[in-house]
Amino acid sequence: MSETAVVSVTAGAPTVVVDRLDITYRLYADSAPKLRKAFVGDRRQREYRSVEAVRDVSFVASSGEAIGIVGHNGSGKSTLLRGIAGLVPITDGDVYASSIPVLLGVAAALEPELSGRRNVLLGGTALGITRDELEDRFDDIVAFAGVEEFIDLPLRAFSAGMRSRLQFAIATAITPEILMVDESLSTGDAEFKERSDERIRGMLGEAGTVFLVSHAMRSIRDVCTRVLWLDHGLLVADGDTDEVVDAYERHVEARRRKRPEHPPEPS
Amino acid sequence: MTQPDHPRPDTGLPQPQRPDLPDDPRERWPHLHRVGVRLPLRDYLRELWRRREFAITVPLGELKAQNQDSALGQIWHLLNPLLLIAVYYLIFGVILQVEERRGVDNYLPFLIVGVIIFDYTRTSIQAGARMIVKNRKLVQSINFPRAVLPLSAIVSEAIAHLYSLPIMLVLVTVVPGGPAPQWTWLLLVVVFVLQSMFNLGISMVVARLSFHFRDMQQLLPFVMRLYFYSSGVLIPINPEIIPNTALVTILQLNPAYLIVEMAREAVLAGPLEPQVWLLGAAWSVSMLLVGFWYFRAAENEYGRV
Repeated sequence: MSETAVVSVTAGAPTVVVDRLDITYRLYADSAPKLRKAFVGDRRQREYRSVEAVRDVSFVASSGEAIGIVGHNGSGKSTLLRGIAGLVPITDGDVYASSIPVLLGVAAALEPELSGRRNVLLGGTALGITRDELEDRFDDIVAFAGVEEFIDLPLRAFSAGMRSRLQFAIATAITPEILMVDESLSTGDAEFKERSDERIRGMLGEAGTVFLVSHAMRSIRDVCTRVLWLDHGLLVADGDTDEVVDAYERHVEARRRKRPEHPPEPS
Repeated sequence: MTQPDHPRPDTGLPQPQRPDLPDDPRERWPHLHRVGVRLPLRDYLRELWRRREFAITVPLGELKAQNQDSALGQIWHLLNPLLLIAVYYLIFGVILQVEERRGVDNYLPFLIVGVIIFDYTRTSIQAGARMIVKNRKLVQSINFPRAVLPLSAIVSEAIAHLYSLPIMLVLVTVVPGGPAPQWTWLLLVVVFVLQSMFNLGISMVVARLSFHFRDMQQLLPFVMRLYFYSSGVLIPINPEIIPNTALVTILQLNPAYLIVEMAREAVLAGPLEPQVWLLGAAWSVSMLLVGFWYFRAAENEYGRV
């Protein structure tokens, strides 16, 4: 389960099984003192509200598939990814995976004050890559991210694009069996986009599985073989990329035309 | 309260059906593992071991970044306890004259060891308490055994403490009434190991508690202050000072007192009392086990928003 580097599944075998997944957040309506709750019991129940971020979602993903996830802001795309990766607690239902999915989220492990070099070590070891493996791949990582000249400067001197390139390079230094890319969080220029798409396609050739959350339908069409459409936490479509993306674009267009009467809710 | 129901968008596509799945998909596909359940203990420890570099790299970077902006920088790690010792000595030694009035011999070396040793536990607990809350983003982005976080907090405090120990030894030899260097000083290694185990255990407990109760971090400084006074750092715990003998016994059984006492026996040439060392060791081992068990019991909760 922990060996992120080894692809143990043959093409076509399921890598992720999601069965009736519910993820509900309980958010406190105000910052009510929680110690009080511990002492006097839960009488203030009405002060928090539940947000059902993911509702009754089921699907099976197989190796060699690149699955795009589309939906409006707040439809539960990122939460679904985090639930599958075991990063947020599952409220109900089951998730099975052939190995721990790697979410492209090393950014959180990086330290702006430290040099790019130390950050490669930091991000890589956070993902469970050993120091030796990292040292072997160091030059590749830096070259792939295209940050050779900056690697000894503190990370805060990096541009946002350089940072996200470095992130991608670290996360994919050892080919994960299941990679999750949440693009609504990252930036990168067109040239790097091409290189990262290429690496993703390379992974698929090695029978990996990729999940891609993006608002750019271009990226989804370029990379994905299948698309899930989430709406308010529900899975409303699951199928061929062009079919689902076409339908989603029609829906977005229809919503845009209706906007004057029905302003969309803030997300 | 749940959100209102939204109309299903018109997709023009068939509503996806739940795939035909066995109750436990692992029967059909044995290579699958369940996500969102805790790793078995052995795997958990192995994953923790794989992250050892991370647990050490983070604190080193932090130590460096922490004091970069102040003029004296790293020196503050050492200056802090020294200034504290000076303040306590002024109040208790010079003004209140504990030495003459309470029969405390050689108050200054007694105080130096007490403050420096207790400070390691205090800073460890306070650093541990912040770890989960502070690293929420990290927890929500990367899958790793969450025990790495309190562990790296303790590594960081341990490194800082290892800088203070030699200073402590130099100080006790130069102040009046201090002992000459002697072989029992080697026992400080034992104290350090036991204290680190205890600190790691208790900071795991505090890390989980402050995740559940946000108020914990506000309360903690006061709890630590109380603990400081009841652990015999400033004044010895004996019936001459505390008349209630039951209370004396209870305070003498508390782990921080035992750790401070062990260090004093080792450094200040006091007689070595086996029961202090045995009790101290028992506390450290059980605190580490209990702390680890308690922290890991909520392993999958820490990513909750």
